[in-house]
Amino acid sequence: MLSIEKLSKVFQGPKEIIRALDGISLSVEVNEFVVIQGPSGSGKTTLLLSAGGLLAPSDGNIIIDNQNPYQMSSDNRARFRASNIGFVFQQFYLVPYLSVLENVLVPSLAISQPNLRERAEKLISHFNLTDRISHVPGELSTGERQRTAMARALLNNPKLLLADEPVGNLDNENADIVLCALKEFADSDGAVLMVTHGDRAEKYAHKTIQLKNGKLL
Amino acid sequence: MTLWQLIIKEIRYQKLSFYFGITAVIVAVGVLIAELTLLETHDLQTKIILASKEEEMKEEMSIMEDDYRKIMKILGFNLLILPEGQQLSDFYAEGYATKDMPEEYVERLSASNIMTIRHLLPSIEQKIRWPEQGMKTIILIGTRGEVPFTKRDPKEPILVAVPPNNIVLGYELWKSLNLKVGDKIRLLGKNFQVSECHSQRGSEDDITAWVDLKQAQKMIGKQGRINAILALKCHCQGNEIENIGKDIKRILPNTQVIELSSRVITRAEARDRAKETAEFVLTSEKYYRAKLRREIEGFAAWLVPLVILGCIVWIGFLTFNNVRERKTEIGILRALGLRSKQILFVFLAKAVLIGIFGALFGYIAGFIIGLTAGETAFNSETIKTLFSPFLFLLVILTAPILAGFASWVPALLAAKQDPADILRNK
Repeated sequence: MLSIEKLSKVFQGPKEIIRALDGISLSVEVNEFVVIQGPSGSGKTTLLLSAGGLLAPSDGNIIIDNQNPYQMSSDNRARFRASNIGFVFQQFYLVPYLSVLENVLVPSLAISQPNLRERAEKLISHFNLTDRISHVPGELSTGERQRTAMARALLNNPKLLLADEPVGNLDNENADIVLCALKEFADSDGAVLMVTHGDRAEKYAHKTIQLKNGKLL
Repeated sequence: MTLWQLIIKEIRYQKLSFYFGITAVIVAVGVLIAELTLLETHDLQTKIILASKEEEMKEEMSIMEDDYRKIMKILGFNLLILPEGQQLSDFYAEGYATKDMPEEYVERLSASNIMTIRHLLPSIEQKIRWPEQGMKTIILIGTRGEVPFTKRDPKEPILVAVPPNNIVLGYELWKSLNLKVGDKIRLLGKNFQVSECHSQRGSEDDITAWVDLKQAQKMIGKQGRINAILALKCHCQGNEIENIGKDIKRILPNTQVIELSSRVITRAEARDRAKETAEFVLTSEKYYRAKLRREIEGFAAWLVPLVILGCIVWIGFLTFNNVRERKTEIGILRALGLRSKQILFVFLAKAVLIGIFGALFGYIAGFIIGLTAGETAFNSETIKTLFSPFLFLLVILTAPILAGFASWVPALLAAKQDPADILRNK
């Protein structure tokens, strides 16, 4: 599903060039839940954003579902992301003025699919948020926010789920719910790439890879 | 879920920012419409004032003409009775009658019971050379003064006769000959004493010498003849000259009667004077109104653009601030697949809504303010007259375009933001 070949990413710092990723190669297959584990500043988020078609690599290739998103136009890449990739972030990034249902439906702004509202309600129910369906993020607990973000990531039925520290702000109970959901997604013909600095996800992952100073160990 | 729903939800969430934007547009559109309405009310009032002045002037002119007509009726006509054979073309060319008629005509008229004539002045008049003064050309008039009507109570004569051996001189004559009252002079072999020297009249009177009728007749060899009878203050039913003419012709069949131009000229002059006065008043009013309009326009000329510019800057600032506050939201929306055009639409659509609502309320507010502060009465009739659907539509269409224009740069910045940058930095 996801194939990363010799991926490098360099940034121009104020004084010197920063090499965030240095020749990384990895792949995530269908039904696979891969965890990249590394300390802060190791290049986890850069790797995830590059894999998600949001950050063009300095060198190397990224192939998702046999397509290189960076060879597409900006608009086509956006459509490709909306159709194939789901994102989950540590800070949830929910739209503050939208209810749970509306937040879950946000991806439908990018791409129209039939019966999205019913699917959104099912996902909300699946993540045990039905009684919070009309609440805005400010009225939700941290766990509820992350579960809303999970439901949003799954709305368009993506093939690949990218998660950046999804349980970093959660208590054990909510972390387990989220990690279970990720595993469940991978098991149902999906692919998950998760980056984290902790080791909580190890027991759910099919593969855990260490990342340090932009290199896989 | 649609983009419009997202926009409406955000507006509800950020009410204050939206209200600030609308307020700016209300102020800009309000000032513009208030100024335009003020000018409209001014123009309307100008029309009303000028129409009223014109009406007033017409009435005054009518009254004035009527007054002159009445005055002239009191004064009566001034008629000239000429010999029947007198060609009027010769009369007008020479300035006096070249034919003559018996002096007895005036006696016949004064002895008649004609009631339409009040004063009779017979005269003989001829252009002559003055041999004693180097053959100077002068007009000699012989007059016997007013001939009283024998069948009426005597009235004070309006002209006094020149006594025999006396002479009255026109301005040019006494001035050029250096004569004064009391001087003795000779004319056609006769001795005269200057009894009166006229002031300048700017007419043939200035080269005229008046003497006693009998003496004049003798001097030019036309004893017992006259060539005109001036009939003053003539009156008749309806002031018709034909009626008086008929009366005179009945008594003096061999004469013709003409009206002296004085009455016609007086009436024409009066009308012209009244017209000039009216036109002056109207021109003054128009000038004052135009000046007032220029002042309002001058005030609007800097205020309106200033306010509109301020509004554009303010909306631009509000949108820029909105973009800054929603940076993360823009990042996640882009990450979830929204295209840059959709992000641009989100911000521009909000600006357009601000423009539409601001224009709507601004138009209403400006129209009411303009009407209240304007010169015309605030009533349904004025509203109907001054409300311009075209202007309303123009404002409703233009304000959103301007608001969109003001938001264009920050909205474009939002659309161009790199989601990876936003998410990485977070």
